[in-house]
Amino acid sequence: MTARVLAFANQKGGVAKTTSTLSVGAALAERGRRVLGIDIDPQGALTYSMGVDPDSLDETINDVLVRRLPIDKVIIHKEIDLCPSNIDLAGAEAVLLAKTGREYALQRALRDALDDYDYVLIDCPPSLGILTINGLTAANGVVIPLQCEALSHRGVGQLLETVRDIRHFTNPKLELIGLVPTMFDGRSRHAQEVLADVGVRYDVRVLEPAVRKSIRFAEATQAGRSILSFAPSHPGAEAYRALAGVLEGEEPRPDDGSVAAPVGAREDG
Amino acid sequence: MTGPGASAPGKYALYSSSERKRLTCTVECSTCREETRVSYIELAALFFPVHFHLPVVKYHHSWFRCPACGHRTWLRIHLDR
Repeated sequence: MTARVLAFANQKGGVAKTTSTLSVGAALAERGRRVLGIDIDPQGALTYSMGVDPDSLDETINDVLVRRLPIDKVIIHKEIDLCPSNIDLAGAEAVLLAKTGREYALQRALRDALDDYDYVLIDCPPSLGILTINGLTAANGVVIPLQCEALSHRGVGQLLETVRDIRHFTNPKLELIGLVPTMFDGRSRHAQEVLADVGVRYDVRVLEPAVRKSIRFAEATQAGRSILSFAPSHPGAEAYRALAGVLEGEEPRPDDGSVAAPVGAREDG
Repeated sequence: MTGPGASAPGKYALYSSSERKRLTCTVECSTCREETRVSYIELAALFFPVHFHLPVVKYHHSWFRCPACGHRTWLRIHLDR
């Protein structure tokens, strides 16, 4: 069976794209799924979050996209399998821009690996450039992590426009899976209002449960592990376990230890 | 040019599909992994003197000369790009 490819994208930085990619990946791995994480952010955030020093790597996703190196040559086996990235990838944008079929570079590279995994999770960079377009072209579905605070919705409209462009030009089957509310502060009425506003304004499904803000996520990143292995019983870990279930088609459980998205967010994607 | 990005031509630079011209397609090589745009006339010349097509059986389903690396090898023709 071929893998389901999910891109985690939002051109706004610091909204927990990388944390969500790794945590959902770890949660799916806990369920016995074979998961590959692909870091296409030149900052190497996913690579760093998994305890790998991006600057120490000789071969990365850059070599896969630019030199056409087979993807299995760069995969590192960690909590989930990782196709790493580092700052070299910044140059790939310039190289790819001169090529025909540049949107399909990642899709081409992934073709050989799809049969080896159940899920491929792509951590997109915080931009809407050629790397993000590659991620969305290679994906079956896109998940949008969204920080629950003012102004965070402003990028969602642009990203949805890019999703429409991708459907038009390169990937008509790209599914908009939904928003993942992150850094949610349940005590704040403002966070609930932001979430309700975004779901209704853009007519996008808001995935439940919302993920609470916690310092434990930063500590897990510092330790080079996911929140699920670093603090297995933490509400954040429970939330990502529940989200992994939702991505697999399950209904969110009311007792998952996290926070449900506020009433008002549209459920029909 | 039509499409969802028609009002913002700058975005088109990111999509090679937007460079598509009439009576052209792209071919993707299994050997050098390059994707190259060719006209239908150039494609016919690449087929010469012999070519095979095995649709469904292989992803790179056509055997002819790659315009990028020059090798006779398996390629995929993308008529929609």
